[in-house]
Amino acid sequence: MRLFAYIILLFGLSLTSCEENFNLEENTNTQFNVRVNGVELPVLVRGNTASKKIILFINSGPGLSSLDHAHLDLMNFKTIESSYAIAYYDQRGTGNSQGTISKGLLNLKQYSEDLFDIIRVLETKYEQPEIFLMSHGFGSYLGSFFLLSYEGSNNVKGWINLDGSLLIQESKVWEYKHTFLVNIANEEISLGKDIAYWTDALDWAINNPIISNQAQKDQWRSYLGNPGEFIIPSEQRDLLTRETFDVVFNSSYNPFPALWSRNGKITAERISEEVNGTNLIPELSRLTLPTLNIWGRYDDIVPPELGDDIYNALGTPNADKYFEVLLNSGHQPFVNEPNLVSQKVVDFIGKY
Amino acid sequence: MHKLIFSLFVIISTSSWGQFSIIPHNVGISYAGETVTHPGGKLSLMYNLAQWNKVNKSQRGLAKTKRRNTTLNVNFGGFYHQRYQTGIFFLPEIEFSESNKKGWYWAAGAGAGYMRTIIPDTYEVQDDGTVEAVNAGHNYGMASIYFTYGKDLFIQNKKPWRFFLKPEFVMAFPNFPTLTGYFLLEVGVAYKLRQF
Repeated sequence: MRLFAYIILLFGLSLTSCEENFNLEENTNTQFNVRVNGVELPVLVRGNTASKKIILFINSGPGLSSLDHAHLDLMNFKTIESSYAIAYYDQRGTGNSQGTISKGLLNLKQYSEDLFDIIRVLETKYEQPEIFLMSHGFGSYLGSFFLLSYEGSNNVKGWINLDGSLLIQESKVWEYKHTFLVNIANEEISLGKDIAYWTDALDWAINNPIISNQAQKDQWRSYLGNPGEFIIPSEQRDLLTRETFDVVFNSSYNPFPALWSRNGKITAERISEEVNGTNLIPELSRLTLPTLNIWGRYDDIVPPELGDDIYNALGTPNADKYFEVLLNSGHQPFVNEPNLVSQKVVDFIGKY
Repeated sequence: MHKLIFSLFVIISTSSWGQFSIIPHNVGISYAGETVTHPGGKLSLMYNLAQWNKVNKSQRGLAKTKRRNTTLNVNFGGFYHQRYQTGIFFLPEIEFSESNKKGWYWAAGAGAGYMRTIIPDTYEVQDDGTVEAVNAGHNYGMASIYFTYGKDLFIQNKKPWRFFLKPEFVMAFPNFPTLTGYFLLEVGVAYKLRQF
């Protein structure tokens, strides 16, 4: 009977025990959970932790999960992982986050606290590595909100902003989109490409200085086309059957909450409601950390003209901030030009 | 230990009041893989609640008899999903089944029970800023629906074994936003302890 009790105890301990510290390795693949306010957030650390530099990736959305994206390497970050480690995590209410998830805590303040605690755990478990943030799309709104909220106490060494949306005011975003069409048309005309077509687009843009109604937005879209149709590069990466089977049957993921649940949609609605009408750009002057801004020239969601204003608004000294426009990319340059993105990220982190 | 054995003996020997006995008609054991590949197991105590024959006429006018059952399955089980969670559950299920004279049968059922999860490698930042490993896990209500296909060797060969394949959809609640789904695939064998 004692032996039976001992075996049960050992089994129980094996299920709940944690390592004291994680090993620093060139090819780490470790997953753990960080509990914040009753919710367990899964964190996957992959890559070169021996570098003592960890990039914490904040995915877009809001409401997108990250660990399944990482498992399939949809962001093409493997090259970066050979130099530095990347920590992927599922945000509260998305993917495989577990626990008592209160709708009332699906807000930026709580998301920032989640980030703070994840960074604290990474620092403790990996012997005080240097932490960099890398964020895409709406993830950059969350990243900059966090940096501003925990200014002076966040220990983040640098920030990589990939096509980040920091302006959530529709009318102002459309001003940038208008400028985007004008600039694209002028570029194409100067290159001698489809001159009649782009002249027509330019005339329309000049005659419609404010784009506000749906008919104008449709016309704007018809000139530029959807991604993959015309001038904006495709952002779709078709999953192979093997990859789908791999993530469903051979991963640390439960696909039901990650892929077939309304949790991401509800999270997106809650966060969108909170940020709608806000603009973080005027506050960026408070940030002085090294920043690499990478933008796709053909980003039709957050145009590079807006990215340029973000770059200029940062309080970072000019020597420590960068604005790189990738000429063959749209909103997801890591899909369109993965090698170039990886190289720029590795070079940037190597400087600090 | 002697007390435990004696208690079990008393329970088993005094439990046959009227038509009900605590001894199940069949006891089953199965591999229960969460999303097929994440290993788990299930022990099932199967109690027949009712049994009747259904006679149909074939196109040639011959009688075709099918045996129908309703069963209460009392299940204890668990699964291990590496890095995600370990689940331990108690899940009673009510089942309807129909078997032909060769012993092939199908069944469909639904259940409701309880599940406890254990979340591995969890850390929490304490008020003083230190990081500590913590035990993490949650209690959930559980509901299931399933289909079973198998062969009962007793019907044709009088052997006390049956084999089955059982895909099962399980829901754990409350969860965010309402429930979390799981898919279990069971492959199992059951042994007949007594006849209905």
